[in-house]
Amino acid sequence: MFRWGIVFVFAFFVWRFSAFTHFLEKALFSVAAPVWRAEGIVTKAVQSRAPLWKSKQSLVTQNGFLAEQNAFLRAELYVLPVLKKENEELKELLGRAESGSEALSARVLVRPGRSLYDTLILDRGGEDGVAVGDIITAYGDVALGTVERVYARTAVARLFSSPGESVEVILGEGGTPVIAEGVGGGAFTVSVPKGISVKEGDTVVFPAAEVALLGVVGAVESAPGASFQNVFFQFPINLYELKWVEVLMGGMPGSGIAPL
Amino acid sequence: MRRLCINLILFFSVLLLPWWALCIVILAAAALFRGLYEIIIWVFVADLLYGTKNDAWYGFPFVGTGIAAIAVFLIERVKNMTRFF
Repeated sequence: MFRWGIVFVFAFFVWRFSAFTHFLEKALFSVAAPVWRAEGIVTKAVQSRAPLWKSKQSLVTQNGFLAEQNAFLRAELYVLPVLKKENEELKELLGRAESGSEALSARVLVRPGRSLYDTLILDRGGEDGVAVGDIITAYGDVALGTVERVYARTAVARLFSSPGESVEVILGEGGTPVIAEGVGGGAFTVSVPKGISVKEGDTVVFPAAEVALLGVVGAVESAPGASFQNVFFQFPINLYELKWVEVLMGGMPGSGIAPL
Repeated sequence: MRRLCINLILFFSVLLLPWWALCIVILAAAALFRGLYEIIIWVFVADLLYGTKNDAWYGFPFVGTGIAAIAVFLIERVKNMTRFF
C-alpha cells in the first residue's frame, strides 16, 4: 500500500508540474544520448564487417543488381536539374520563391520501432539551432514530421504518421486536397468519395513550398455499394533503416502549408 | 544484487530494445521477481524519452506508464493468489 502511495504522489507531481517533467526529461536525455551514440558506433562497426560473412556468389549477384540500379539512377539524375530549374521558375511565376530556409543534417539516434509513439530522436538540438515546429525531411524532399521537443544536443520529432495525427495533403494526379490520418509505422489512411480517381502508385504531396512528397498510395479499398473509398499510403522510404534526416530550420518553409 | 542487475537490464532494455521486446522483458521480470514496482518507473522513463502528446490518446503522454501500472498490479494479484509464487 505504501509503495502504491509513492506511485500516486509521483504521478500527481508529473501531472501538475510540467517543469518537474521537463527537468526529468533533460536529465534522462543527458544519460540516454551517449548510450544511443555508442549504439550507433557499435552497429556501424558490426555492419561494416557483415560482408565478411556473406558468400562470394551472393556478393556478385548483389553487385550486379546495384550496378544496374546505379545506371538507372544516373539516367534519372540527368533530368533532375532541368526539373528543379523548371520548378523554381514556376514558383517565381506564382510568387512562391524559395524561402532559403536553412537545412541541417541530423543523425537519427532512435527510430520508430523502439516505441509505440512513432517518434524519431535526433542528435541535433537547441545548441545547433533546432526549434520546436521545424520540419523533418528525408533527403530534403520527403516530409516526415515536425520537431516536438528540443534539448541541448537532442531533439524529439513526431512523425506525421503517428497514430491520430492529421495532416493536410494533396492526393493523386487530380491534386485533390484531403486530410490524411496517421496510423503508425509510416502509414496513413484517408477516406475519399468514390468519384475521385486514385490508384496504386499515385503520389501524395505535402503542400509546403520546399518539401515535395509525403507518400505513395499502396492500396485503395472500397466496399460494393459504398460511396467512399479508403486510400492507404505510406512514406516512400523505410523508416526503420533511416540513418540521416534534414531539419528545415524555421518551421514551415516558404509560405507554409497552403490553406486547402 | 539480483535486484540491481534486473534494474540495470530494464534500464538498457528501455534504451536499446524495440517496444515489443521490452514488453517481454518487463512481463518476465514482473513474473519472476516479487514486488518489482520499479517496472512502472522504467516504463515512465520510456514514456518521457519517446512519448508524445498524441490525439489518439486524448493528449495523454503516459499511456505506457498507465498500462504498466495496471499490468504490475494484476500480476502481483495473480501471484498472491497462486501457490506457485
